[in-house]
Amino acid sequence: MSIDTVDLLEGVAGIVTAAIALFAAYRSATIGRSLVTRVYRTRAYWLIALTIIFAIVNADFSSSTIGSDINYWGFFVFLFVLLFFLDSNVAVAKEIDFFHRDILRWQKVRIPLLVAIVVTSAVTIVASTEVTAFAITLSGVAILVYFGLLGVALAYSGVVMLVISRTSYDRTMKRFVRMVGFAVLFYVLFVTIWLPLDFLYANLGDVVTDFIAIGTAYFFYRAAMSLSLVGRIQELTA
Amino acid sequence: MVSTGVPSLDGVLAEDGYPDRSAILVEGPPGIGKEALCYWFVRSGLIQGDYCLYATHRPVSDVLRDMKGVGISTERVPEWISSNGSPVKLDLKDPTAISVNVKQAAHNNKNRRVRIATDLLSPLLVLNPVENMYNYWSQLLSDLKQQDCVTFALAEEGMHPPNVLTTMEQIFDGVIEMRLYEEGLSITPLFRIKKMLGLPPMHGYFRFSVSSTGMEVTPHVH
Repeated sequence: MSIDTVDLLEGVAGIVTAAIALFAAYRSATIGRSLVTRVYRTRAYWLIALTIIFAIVNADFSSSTIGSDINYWGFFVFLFVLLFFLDSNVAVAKEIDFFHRDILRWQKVRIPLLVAIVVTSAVTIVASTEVTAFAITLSGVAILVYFGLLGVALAYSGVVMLVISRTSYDRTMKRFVRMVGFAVLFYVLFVTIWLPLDFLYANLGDVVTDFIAIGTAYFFYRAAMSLSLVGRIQELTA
Repeated sequence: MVSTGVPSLDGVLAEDGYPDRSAILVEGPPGIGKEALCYWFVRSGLIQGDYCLYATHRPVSDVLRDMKGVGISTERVPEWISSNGSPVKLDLKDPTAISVNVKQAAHNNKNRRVRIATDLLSPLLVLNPVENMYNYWSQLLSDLKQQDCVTFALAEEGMHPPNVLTTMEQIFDGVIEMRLYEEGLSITPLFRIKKMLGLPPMHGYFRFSVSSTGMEVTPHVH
C-alpha cells in the first residue's frame, strides 16, 4: 500500500469518525436538554464531552506540529474522561439498582485500575518524549506494555457495561450502557489491534484502526439516541 | 374544571384545565417530564386546598427529591400510598388492596375536591394480564369519577406494546402524549393532546420545557 493511499484512507476515516462523533455530541446536547430525569441528563452531558474529545482526537491533524500535539495529548484526555464516564455509569447503575449490586467487583477494581493506567501513561509519555537511547528502548517496551494494559482494562470496563445492561431493571440505562459497552469494546480494538497488524504489514494497523474508530463513534451516537424514544416528524403530519 | 398547575397548559385546555370528574392519562418515554406534569397537578391541588393522594411504586423520598428537582416546594405534600415511606403500604402484587385503599381515601374526603395521581398503571400492566388490567382500571376510574375525583395516571412508553397502550387509552377521558421528535437535525420535546373530554380533537403539537422555575407550554410551528 502506497503512502498516498494510506494517507487518503486515514484522512477519509478520520473525517467520517469526527463527523459521526460531533453529530453524536449534538444529539446528546439536544436530547440532554430535553430530559428531566437527572440520571439520563447527566449521561447525555458526559457523552457530549466524550464525543467532542473523540472527534478532535480522530480528526487528522497530524500534518502540523500543533495538530500532532492535539492528537497526542487528546488521546490521554479522552482515555481519562472515558474512564471517569464508565465509573460514573457503574455508580449510577448501582444507585438505581434495587439490590445495589457491585457488578464484577468494580468498586474494588476501579482504583487499582486507574492507578495502573495513570502510572503507565506517565511512563509512556516520559519515555516517548525523551531522546536518549535508553528512553527509545524503554519507549518500545513501554508502548507494548501500555497498550496491552489499556486493552485489558478497557475490555474489562466494556464487559462491566454489558453485564449492567443485562442486570439493570431500568430500560433506558439498559439500552444506554449496552451501546456504551459496544463503543468501549470497539475502542479496545482501536487501541490494541494496530500492534499485530503493523507487525504483519506496514501501515495496515493504522488504516484498520482508523476505520474501527468509526464503529466507536457510531456506538456513541447510538448511546446518545438510546436515552429517549425519538419519533419522526412525519408522524406529526400523519 | 381542575387546574393542571401549569398556566400555559390551562390555556391550551380552553383556559380551564382538566375536566371535573375525569381520568387523564399521560404517556411518554422515561425522563421526558411526565412526572413533572404530575407534580404540578398535585401542587396546584395542594395550594387550592384539594385533597391530594399520590399512589406510587417508588419510595416517597425519591418522589420528594424529584419534586424538589423541578422546583416544587415540599412544604405541603400529598397523602401517600407507596411501597416505602407511607403509612399505607403498597404491594404491587395486590391490585385489589391498592384499589380499596385509593377508593377509601377518596371516600374519606368526599367533602373536598379530590385529586389522585398515580404511576401504577405501567407496573401493574407489566405484572398482570392486559384484559384483567383493562377491567380493573375501568372499574377503579369509574368508581373514582362517581366520587368526584380527578385521576391523573402516568404510562411509560416503550414498556408495553403499542396496542396495549391504545387499549388503555379508551378508558381515559383525556390522553396526553409527551415525546421527543426529530425535526431535521434537531430534536424537540413536544406533546399532543390525543383526546380531552369536552374539547374537539386537537391536531396541533405543543413544545414544552421543564425547568426549576416551572413548566412552559407553547404551540409548536413546524
